[in-house]
Amino acid sequence: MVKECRESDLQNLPVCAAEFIKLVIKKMRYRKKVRLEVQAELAAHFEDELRDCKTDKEKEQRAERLIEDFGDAKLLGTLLRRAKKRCRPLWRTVVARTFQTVGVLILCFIAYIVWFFTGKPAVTIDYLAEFNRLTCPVADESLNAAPFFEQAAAMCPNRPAEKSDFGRNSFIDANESERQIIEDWVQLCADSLNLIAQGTEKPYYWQQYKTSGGPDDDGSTRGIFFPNLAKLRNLSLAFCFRAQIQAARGEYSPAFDDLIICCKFGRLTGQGEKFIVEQLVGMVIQAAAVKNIREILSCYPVGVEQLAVLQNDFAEAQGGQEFGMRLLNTKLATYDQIQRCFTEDRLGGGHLYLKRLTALGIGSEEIVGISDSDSPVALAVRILFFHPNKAKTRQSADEFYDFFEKVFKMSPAELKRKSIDLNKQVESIIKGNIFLSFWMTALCSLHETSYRFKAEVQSVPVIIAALRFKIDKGRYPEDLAELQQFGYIKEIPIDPFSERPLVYKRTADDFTLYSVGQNFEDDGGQVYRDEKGKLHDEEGDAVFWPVQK
Amino acid sequence: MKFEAQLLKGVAPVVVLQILSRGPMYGYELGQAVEQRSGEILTLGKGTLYPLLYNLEAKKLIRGKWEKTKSARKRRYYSITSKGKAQLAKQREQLKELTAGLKLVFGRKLMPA
Repeated sequence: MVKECRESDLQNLPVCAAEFIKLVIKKMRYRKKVRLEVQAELAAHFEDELRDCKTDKEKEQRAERLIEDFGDAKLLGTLLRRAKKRCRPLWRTVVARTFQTVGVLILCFIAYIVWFFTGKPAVTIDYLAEFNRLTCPVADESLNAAPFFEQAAAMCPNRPAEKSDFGRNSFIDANESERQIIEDWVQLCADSLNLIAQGTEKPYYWQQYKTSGGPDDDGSTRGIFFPNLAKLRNLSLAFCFRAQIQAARGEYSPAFDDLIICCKFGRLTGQGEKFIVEQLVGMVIQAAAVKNIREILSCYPVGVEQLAVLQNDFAEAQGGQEFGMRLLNTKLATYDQIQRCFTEDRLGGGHLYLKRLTALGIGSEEIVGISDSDSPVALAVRILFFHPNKAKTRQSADEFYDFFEKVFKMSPAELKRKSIDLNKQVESIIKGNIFLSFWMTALCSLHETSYRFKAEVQSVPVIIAALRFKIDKGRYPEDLAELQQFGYIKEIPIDPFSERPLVYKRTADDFTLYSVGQNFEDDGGQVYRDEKGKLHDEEGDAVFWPVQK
Repeated sequence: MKFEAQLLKGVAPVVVLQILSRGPMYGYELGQAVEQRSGEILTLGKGTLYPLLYNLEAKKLIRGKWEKTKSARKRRYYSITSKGKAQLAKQREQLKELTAGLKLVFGRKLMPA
């Protein structure tokens, strides 16, 4: 029936009536099928009205009256559309609304994608300048060791290539040809070592941070490079070797002087507001000096007076040292990356800036917060819609660093007592944040490293004191309390892994001194070695005496 | 909107249902019937008629169906549904009450002279 309601409906009507009906139907703006039905019905109405008219003129006149009676075509079309819409069956309404909603969503999605990919970061703070302001503790350049250290690094000869594991083995264990290579190299380093020694007389060491200036240098803190660190590390080895060479010749005083300078040198390298890598190098330099002091004490018959001087100098070199890591620079470096890896706030929305993330190589599956089950699509959806924005990321970064500021003040034993699981805490703070997962340094392991280093440093005065006690009294002390009682040590060092004194045990003709180590258990002074005989810190005790090879 | 138009707007659906309760009609026929049966007091504007019919159809109070007349012409006939009948009965009662109320307010003045 409906198919029959076409142009033919209007053929028998006066032109004005046909035009009016067409206009109403046009203004209806609705589905064609419905419009044709209404057209047929209106045409029938006109036909009925004009049925009795005998002439065309009469038809025209009556049609015009009827059109007037129908009123405004546009209004009528609108009313008809609304009424017909109400007649629509529910399923059709649902389908129509669904399509409309999907269409709107697609449009919104396209707009969102365009907005997302056209957003750019706004770099508003020059953190490089901020570092250089923070790292300088005083204005007086004459108090700065940097000119000496920089010159020493510039003059430092490369390590001999013939011996690949050079620096790992001690001079004492080296064969004749290796000893010759080491002695030659140390000789070449003499001028640099003198400069370092002069530098350690200064109270501070700071330098102006610079970016590499290479093709990848974007002026961000990520481009900061530390050209001298490797050279300084080499020079610390040169100090240690020179001390061993001197000790082998029986020249203990200059040997210990070199190692004390090395301690001061390491301390200066890492102290103040420095980056973690600088603090670690400082720690490594000091640890090397400590290890060599113990080795020399273990291998050579050092006199009681030299021991007393060494103990005094060591206490002076290490006095007041804080063992936690300082995180301000790293925190600011994170802020710098946040301002570069997120679009600007407000109109920019503060979302991730993918171009930079890609350049940084973010997207690795190994980082926290991206599970193995995350498909590329799931990852894209997370980044597009669910990733924390700039403000929230900054908040999480603050939370992260505040947490570690507190953690570094707590010993591993205290963390254990309070059941603080660093990895879980970190994961809960940065979970779901791809940027932070990538950017945050592995501070959890650094915490243990810094306290292991503390235990090593604390062991030295005890060892020296015990050796002095033996020379004075003809026997080793029964316990640490006896050492303290006779004034050989001022206080008994506390093991950061047990919150109890370092473990001292007198043996038949020697003594044992150790920390319970990272497993928090007293393994009776036993170290853990793998099948290849390599020492591992995770298991067993950290034994300081007798010296472990 | 004028008072008369407001009144008509309110009663038009009941009037249409009442007339259709006597048998199916197509749009033109219905418009004529309203005028005739109301003594030409009630007149449904043509611009109102079809939107009104479609609205009543949407509420399922009437049903429209294309049929051929005796003269073989196609017309859309509207008939009242059972839901429409129930609605009509309810609205008639309401109209009665309204009329009674109006009589009480206006007294004899509302009655024809």
